[in-house]
Amino acid sequence: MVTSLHLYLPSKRLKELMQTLAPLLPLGVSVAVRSGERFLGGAGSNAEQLTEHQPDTRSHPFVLDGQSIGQLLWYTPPECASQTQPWIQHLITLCQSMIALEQARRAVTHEALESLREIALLERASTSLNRSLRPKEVANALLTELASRSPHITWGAVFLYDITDSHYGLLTTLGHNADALFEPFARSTFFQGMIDGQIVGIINDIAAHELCSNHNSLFHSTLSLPLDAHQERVGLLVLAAEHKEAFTSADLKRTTTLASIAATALRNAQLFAAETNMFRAFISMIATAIDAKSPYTAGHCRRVPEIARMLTEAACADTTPLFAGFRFTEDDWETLEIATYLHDCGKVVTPEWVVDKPTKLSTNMDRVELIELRIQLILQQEQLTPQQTGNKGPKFWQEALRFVRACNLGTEMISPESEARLRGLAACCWRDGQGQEHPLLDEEELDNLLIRRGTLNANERAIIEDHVVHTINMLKGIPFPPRLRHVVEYAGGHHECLNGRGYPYHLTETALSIPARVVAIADIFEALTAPDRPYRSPYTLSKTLDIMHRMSREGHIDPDLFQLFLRSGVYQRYAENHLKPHQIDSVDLTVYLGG
Amino acid sequence: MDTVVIVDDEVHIRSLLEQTLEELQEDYAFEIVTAANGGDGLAVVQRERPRLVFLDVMMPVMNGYDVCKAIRADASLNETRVVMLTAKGQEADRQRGLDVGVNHFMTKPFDPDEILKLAETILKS
Repeated sequence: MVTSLHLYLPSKRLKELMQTLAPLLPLGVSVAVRSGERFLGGAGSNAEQLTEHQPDTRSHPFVLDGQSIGQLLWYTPPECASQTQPWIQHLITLCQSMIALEQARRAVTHEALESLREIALLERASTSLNRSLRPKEVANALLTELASRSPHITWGAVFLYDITDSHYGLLTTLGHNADALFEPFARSTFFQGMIDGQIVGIINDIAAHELCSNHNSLFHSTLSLPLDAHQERVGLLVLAAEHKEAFTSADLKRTTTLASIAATALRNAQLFAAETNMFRAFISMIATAIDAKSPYTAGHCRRVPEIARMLTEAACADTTPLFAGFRFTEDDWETLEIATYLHDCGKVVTPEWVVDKPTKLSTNMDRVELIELRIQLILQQEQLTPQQTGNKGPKFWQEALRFVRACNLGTEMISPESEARLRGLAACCWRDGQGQEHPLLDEEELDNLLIRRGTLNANERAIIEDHVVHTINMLKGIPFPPRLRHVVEYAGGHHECLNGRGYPYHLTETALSIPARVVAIADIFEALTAPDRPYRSPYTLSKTLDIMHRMSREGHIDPDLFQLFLRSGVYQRYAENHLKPHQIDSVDLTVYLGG
Repeated sequence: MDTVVIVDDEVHIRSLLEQTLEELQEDYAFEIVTAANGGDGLAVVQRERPRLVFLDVMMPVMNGYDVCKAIRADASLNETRVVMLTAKGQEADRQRGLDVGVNHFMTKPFDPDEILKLAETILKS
């Protein structure tokens, strides 16, 4: 605090006082108020030149808090000394009461200014410390705010208390080489003292402290405070300085104010993290359930996020104009992760016999077995009536069964000849116990066997495609916070195509964001390379990329992203981590990168 | 010597600002002159030609906008920086302040450290 007389005898008021006094002083008398070398005011001739060493000059000191802050000097010609004395005494009293009043006023103002500082600090801190719900960001904001206001702080650290193992883990630090300094510090008995509450507040000479054995740290002063919120320990704040006697009571006051806000903010961040973790566990549970539902797609929901993340990272890192403006925030990454984990969540309502339909006649069982039974029945009946016309004989039926079994697999296209043969077989009859005749293949069985490609009929394909609608509807039911609002879009668009031929909404290029397109590519790549599907063995890398290249040319998937997928080497890195060695064959990228 | 002028009709605001600025007098030589209404404030500014003026908005005789307008009308005062002190919630009136040539705004209750930072930047320049 500044202690100089001019602050307590403001020049304007001193001037007024001296002006009133001047005409009252006897001739030849002069008075002056000085603060050290500084002349503050006076009356009479030569007032400015007055010093206490001159003859017939006397002085009176002005004292504040035991400290001399200036003096009143007066020169009186000997002949009028007695006449002047009462005036001088009056002047001293006046000045002293002015100083006392001004001292009181300044003290009140000083307190008010300190309060304003504290209000401003609280306001700033409650904004900056509550801006984030990430513990590390809160802790960084705390350290930055403290360091910006106190020149004494060289290093700072926030330790988080882990209730499960009663351990204090280093969350974040500030200052040159701080991590390396705080790490050994955290193993010291001195730090233990901070944890136990034996050391709280300022220690301005660590080496001299009883809990400090063998001081070899660069820290010479510390200011530490526990971070408590709602009567619970959240963590510990440690500030350190390279000199002794570094911290002041003002530092402690400011730090205490901020620490209480920071503790609450950290606690909120921890609670938020706990909620987030729980939500993530639910997501993981759903992904596990979907993957577990079908042995064939096991791991799909866990591998698609990985491919999508790798491809998105490649897009962020890409320097070509294609992805120059593409940025991903931390919230975007979280959105993508949730979306990719849940992109198939609608499959929980899809019957597994459709998801995994291994053969055309599969429902809960493969009905080809029924057909075999019927054929055996026909054969028996033919053997009982060998003379009957129309009997086809064992050889015919064995071949018929082999043919039906082959058609049932769905591995090959049904040719017009095969179709005619199936229709012919369907018309053959078998008789039940009551002598009633039935067709060998009923209408529904025939329709299934006539599926031209794959094992799914139109109805079942619709059920499969419906899983995306279920995904979208399920995710729409989750009240995602604004920062995660794109989850539904990223997850629900993975079967849409740029050319508008995808499902379920036949979206086109303009409606499909880059992340949604990324998810589509990740989904296809994973599905094609997945270890085992009921209807086929896993594709090799070259065959997979061939198929995807065709899809890219046909406007099914984004060609720019597909090219990035190739030239960034994402496909290769993923393959090395997840594909069987025999799947990883040589790939000639020039074929695809040409366009 | 540089001068800093404080124009505010509230004595406690003058007092708080003055005592805040005194901290800078250790490092910078400047004089603080105060005025308790807009009219006096303008007269002081025209007489002292200060580097910096802290100007309240709502004041008797002449409001802060008119004072600032008058300051800006005087080309010889274009080195004078004007900091307008607005009450909380009056931030919307900033445009009006900008229109009359205010350089900076501070919200009351002010943060003494912000005042010091701003004043120092101006006095240093």
